[in-house]
Amino acid sequence: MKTMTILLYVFMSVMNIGIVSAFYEWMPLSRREEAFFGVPVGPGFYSGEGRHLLRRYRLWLVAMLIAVEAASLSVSIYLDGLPSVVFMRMASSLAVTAAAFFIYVIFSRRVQPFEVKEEKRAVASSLRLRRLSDYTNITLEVIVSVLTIAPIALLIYYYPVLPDRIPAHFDSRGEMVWEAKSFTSIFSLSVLAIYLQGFFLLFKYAMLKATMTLPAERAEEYLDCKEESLRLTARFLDHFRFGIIVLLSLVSMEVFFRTVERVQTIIISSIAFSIVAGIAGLLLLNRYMNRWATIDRRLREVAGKTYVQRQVARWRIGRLVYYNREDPAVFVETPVGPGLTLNLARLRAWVCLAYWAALPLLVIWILRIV
Amino acid sequence: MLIRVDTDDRRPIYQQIVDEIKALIAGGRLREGATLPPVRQLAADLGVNLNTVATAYRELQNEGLIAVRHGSGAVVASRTLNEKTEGELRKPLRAALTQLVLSDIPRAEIMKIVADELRGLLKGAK
Repeated sequence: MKTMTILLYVFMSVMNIGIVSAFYEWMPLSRREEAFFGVPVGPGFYSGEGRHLLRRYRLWLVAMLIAVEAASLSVSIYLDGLPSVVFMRMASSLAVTAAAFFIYVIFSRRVQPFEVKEEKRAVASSLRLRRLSDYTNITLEVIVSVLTIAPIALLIYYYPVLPDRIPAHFDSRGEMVWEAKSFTSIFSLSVLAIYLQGFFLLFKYAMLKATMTLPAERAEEYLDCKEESLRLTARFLDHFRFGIIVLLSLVSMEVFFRTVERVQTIIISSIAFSIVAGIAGLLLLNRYMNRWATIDRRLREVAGKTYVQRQVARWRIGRLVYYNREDPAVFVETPVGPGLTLNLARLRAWVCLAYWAALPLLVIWILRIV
Repeated sequence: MLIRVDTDDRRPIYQQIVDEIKALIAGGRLREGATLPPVRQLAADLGVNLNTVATAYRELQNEGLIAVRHGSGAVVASRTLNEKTEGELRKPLRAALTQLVLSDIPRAEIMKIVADELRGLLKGAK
């Protein structure tokens, strides 16, 4: 394996470890003592013995992730070749995530004996019907639709005049790889763009249809905060979809920019635009995260919590998996993590899971490994 | 516009839901034509069985207060209960007043409680 490829692989391993460990370090603390590793604990435990447990958890987490990535790199060097590197990269991403999940579940079980049972049984619900249309910006949807369809239309129109061999991607030596013109080589990124729009729209729908159990006391104020959080997250998902479609539209058009002479000058401006869009995206993400943190603080001031515990006995595997046949909800607020999960007792949950799980298969198809 | 249920309350959950929605209709906060969430959404939010909410909606529909539309929730149809005799209407009031008397609350206090509750209920009503 070339030195550049090894260095790139190491860089991606470090990024992978960084992202996964940051996420799994945030998870036990996302709701503080309300759901420390998904378990409600007392403030004494949270700031006392819980901290020792957290330190051990972090050590195990980082050690396990480094071990998995090191093993993956060793196998890649032994196998050599770009396809095996890509496969090992994907396999190690999955292995790292699985390892982090495993460590999290072990430590969650260690916290469970310290659970504080909630005594109050009164809950409230808003009678407001939550519709996707109420959280939809029509102008943005029109722009996203145009940006999705326009590249496909242009590529279809110019397909006959594109050369028989087109630039596809860069190889491990940094050289351009040329491929025969085909549906996959021309339209794969457009297909990915459409899929990702559905991916995030489904996520937005899930968020709006997720259970919203309110505490009986100060329910109106709690609801106001939750509603604000919903609107903020819906806007974030819309902006994220917009960013994704801009990026994928430009990249999917690259074959067109590189091969049709009169538009080759657009390449430089599209690269510059992508860089600017990336920086703007990071700044916007930072702004959103600050707003979410502010809402969480207000929820704690109003109700002393950001989450209403329910159906504790139906949570499994470190309070990350929810299975409850008696609960009609498909999407449920979680004690930890991103705040949303699926009720695996419902068929619709598996349909959503199947759609989301298709992403790796799509990536494999696009990379044309199989 | 919220409804509250309490598992420690003696009343069945479906009855609590019925009473809460009736109070919102009587108080004018749920007007004719207002939409109620689907059975599934309300049951999910409250963490109760689908049948519990379905029973509540059915009772409200039988009393002429709401019209249920399958798959898309229910609509407030009327602010007036289906015809009931005065005798039927007095029964729950008599039961509630009996509880207050047996709690050794003075008559004047009972009158004040009744007036306060009525005022609170009709605050938003036309």
